[in-house]
Amino acid sequence: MDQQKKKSSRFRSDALRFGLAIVCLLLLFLISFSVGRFPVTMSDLLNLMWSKVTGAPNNLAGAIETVVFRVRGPRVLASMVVGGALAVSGAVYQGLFRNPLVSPDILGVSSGAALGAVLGIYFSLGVVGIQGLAFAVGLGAVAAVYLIGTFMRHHDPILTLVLAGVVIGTLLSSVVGLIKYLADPYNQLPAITFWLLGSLTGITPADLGAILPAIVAGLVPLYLLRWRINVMTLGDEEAQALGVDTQRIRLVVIAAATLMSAAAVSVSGIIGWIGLLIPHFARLLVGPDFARLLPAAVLLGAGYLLGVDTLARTISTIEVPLGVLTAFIGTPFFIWVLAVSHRAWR
Amino acid sequence: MAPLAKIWIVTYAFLVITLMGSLALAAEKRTVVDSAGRRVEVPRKIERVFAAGGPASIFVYTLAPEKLLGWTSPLTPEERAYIPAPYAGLPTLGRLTGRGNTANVESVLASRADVIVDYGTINPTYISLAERVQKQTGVPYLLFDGSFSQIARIYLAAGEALAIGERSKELARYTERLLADADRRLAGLPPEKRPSVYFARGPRGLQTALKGSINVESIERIGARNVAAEHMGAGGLVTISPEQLLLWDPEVVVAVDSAFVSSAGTDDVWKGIKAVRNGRLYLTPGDPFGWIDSPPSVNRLIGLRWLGRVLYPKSFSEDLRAETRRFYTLFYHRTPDERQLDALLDTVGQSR
Amino acid sequence: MKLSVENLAFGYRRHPVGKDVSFTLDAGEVLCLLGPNGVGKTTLFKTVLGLIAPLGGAVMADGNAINRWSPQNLARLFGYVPQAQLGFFPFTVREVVLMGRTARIGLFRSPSSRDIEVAEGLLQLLGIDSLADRPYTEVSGGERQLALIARALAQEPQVLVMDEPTASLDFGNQVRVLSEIKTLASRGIAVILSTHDPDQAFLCARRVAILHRGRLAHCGPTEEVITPTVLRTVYGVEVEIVQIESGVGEKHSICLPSFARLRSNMVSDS
Repeated sequence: MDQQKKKSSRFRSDALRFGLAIVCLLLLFLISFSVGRFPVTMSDLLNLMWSKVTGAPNNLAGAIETVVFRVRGPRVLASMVVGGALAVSGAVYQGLFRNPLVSPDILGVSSGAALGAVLGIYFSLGVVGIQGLAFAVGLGAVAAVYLIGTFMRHHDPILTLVLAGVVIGTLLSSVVGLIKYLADPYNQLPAITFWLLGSLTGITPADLGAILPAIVAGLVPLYLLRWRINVMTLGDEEAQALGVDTQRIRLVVIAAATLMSAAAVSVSGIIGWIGLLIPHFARLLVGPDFARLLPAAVLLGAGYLLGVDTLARTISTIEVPLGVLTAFIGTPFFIWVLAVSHRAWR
Repeated sequence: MAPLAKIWIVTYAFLVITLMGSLALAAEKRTVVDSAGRRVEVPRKIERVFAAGGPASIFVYTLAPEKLLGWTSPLTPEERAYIPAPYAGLPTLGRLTGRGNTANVESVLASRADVIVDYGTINPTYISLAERVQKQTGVPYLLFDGSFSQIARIYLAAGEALAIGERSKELARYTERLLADADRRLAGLPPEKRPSVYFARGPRGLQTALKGSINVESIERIGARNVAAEHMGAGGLVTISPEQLLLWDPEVVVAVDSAFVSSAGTDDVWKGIKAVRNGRLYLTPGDPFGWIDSPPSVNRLIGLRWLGRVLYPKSFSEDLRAETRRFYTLFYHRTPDERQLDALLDTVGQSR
Repeated sequence: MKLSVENLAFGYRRHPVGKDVSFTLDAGEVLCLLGPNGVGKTTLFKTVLGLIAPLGGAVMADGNAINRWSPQNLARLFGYVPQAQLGFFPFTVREVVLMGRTARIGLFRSPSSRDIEVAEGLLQLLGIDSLADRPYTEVSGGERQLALIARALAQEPQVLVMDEPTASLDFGNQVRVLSEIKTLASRGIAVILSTHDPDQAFLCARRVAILHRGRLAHCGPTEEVITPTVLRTVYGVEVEIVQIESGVGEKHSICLPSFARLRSNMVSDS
């Protein structure tokens, strides 16, 4: 009876906290939706929403509708989706690799996506080509890392993965450097530089539609395997001794996280710090149990990137690259988090 | 003869010979002043010119192709089609300046250049680079101002510096005539008749250039209103957001990326823009060298004329074929055939 | 349930550790693996558990070779209590014990209320229920060891494999654990534990196996196997095995190190 009471009270406090987080996120969403370069008043917004819902015509300028549904809407949603995806990937990798300094890039997905995008720009492909190539090479890089990891029969499968990831990641980054060197300095190089710094400028509903299935396809298995993922944090041998098929679970986890990060990076460019910082913070708030950590990471990551991206498009007349902002904001925040956290890492 | 007289004669002869020798030596060199105000000693006869960057190689190619030692990056097949064979076959020597140096200073020496010519922005960075390379290699390094308004004047200055008389005057005359003609046609055109223009770069067309940027010098020279500059002021290349684009709603869009131009008609954001709706989205011709930028060198001259036609069709009503033919023959040393002219000028009046 | 290890060769491909290891274990039996530090007891255990591939031989459960069993089935057979390390993430002690239920939790599920009941019961059994909500990373070494034992028991295994289970425990907890081992055996669970202390073998194990230089030097009833000669060979020290009688009339053996003879041997050696 005592157990039941404890369990239900903890469930209630969990539900309360998550409910609060969702409400905050919604508020942030509404605020972000109403600010931007193109002036859209609250009444315009409501008018537009109403006419969409009821099907009645509105007498607003066509541009306003374009801004709301085709420019700002997708961008605000995309920032949440990308932020959540990166945060969850980071959270699950930190558990899998038992290392608080791990980010989704550790297996080379970002270097691969960067190479794909840079190749796309270098060969003057259209936007779809650039994004598709970024996605494909990002996946390919991790596949290569995983294959190398399996063929090197070593004691510790985790260590081999990390080493292979570092090696492949460095190799791909140096190829990116080479292409930057060879690229046309007047046309291609600025585009390459901007892509590498990360940005959600110019994101379209089509982009959002393209990445959502991949991200959902990654999130679902991770949530389903939440308990096994908890056990994987004990290390390969102990997890196996407790009945977890570590090889298969690791493969699924890596595939899911890679799917999410590759999709996110293909439209947003390289945005650092979210996959590293947000899981920490989430873990401090809700603990390491992945059943709670996953939704917490999603909410926090979504909110963080939503806030940062809103800043990126409003604080100055030019578009500030996201990667720069997340680092500027994230670093002091992270130092503060480390200073006040009393739950020590090893 | 008295021994003293012999000594005098020998000494006198020796002095005369030395004097004549040094005069002769001095006659081998002369001093020129480049656009940065540097006094540089160059050989009397200059036969071999090393171009320090992309814009410089085009500049030297137009002025004295027989003296050009090589290109800074390999020519694409499209570029080769417009350049006569002996010049198209010149080796690739790499860049000394500009974004991303790829030339080895040793290759400057190996090329046995008489001078190095640089053409572009004059600022302390490029001046110090010039000094360094000159000191290191002993090869004189000349900096020339690459701004659009100075093209005629710089042709004359470079002509003097490189001892190329007639040709530089010819190019300068053409330039002045072109600019004067444009000014005449646009004189008295009130601001309302000047369209708002957006210069679109990049695969999404969201990168543009602000006031004073070298990329839009010709657009500003033709008196068009650069919407980005009007709202954001001076600066270089920037990326904007689609919201700003919708707000500005330019009447004309001049683009450089062909993939962007083909997709603009179906793009959610772009298809609502005035320019796209009215069919006033133009792809800048780019062979062999871009007509507006990439690189920002003398190739922009014909671009000015093209801009005139595109932006003010009433004031620049005649066909561009004759002018283009004339420009290419004079500057690029090869008359384009009809098919090539078609390919170049196809974009005038084209928007999808 | 009969566990049988036949001619097992164990170790790593480049570093074989031992071979020709054979023994059996029946339900309710307690087998103690004795040997000095570094001889390979942990490696042998990991090989029996299926965590490391054997270099030769086989491990059979009721006549079936276990080398192709899934981790899930192996986890229902074997409960492994490794030497306690510092945890990495601050899971609570209860959550750590719950992890033992994994083999009985569906692939896409979380622990059920039944699982939580079992975990709570085990926490109480081992006397650490007051620590249930504390982070595993903040409790003492001994308490961590007890949590790991509870975790292994949560698997409801048929065989309990314990690697030096009393290593970091204080005297009171050592006694508790040894007593718990005897109780478990009496309930039908087979227990194999490793220790370097012969007295523990005397206290709780009916059979003892000595691992010496990579081979099972001896295997048999405790009283027969643990002799001064064997201990001299394995540990290089002189001991006396002394028979004593407890207050309730139970006969018991203990090892008494023979310092005098040790000193005289050292003198005569030099």
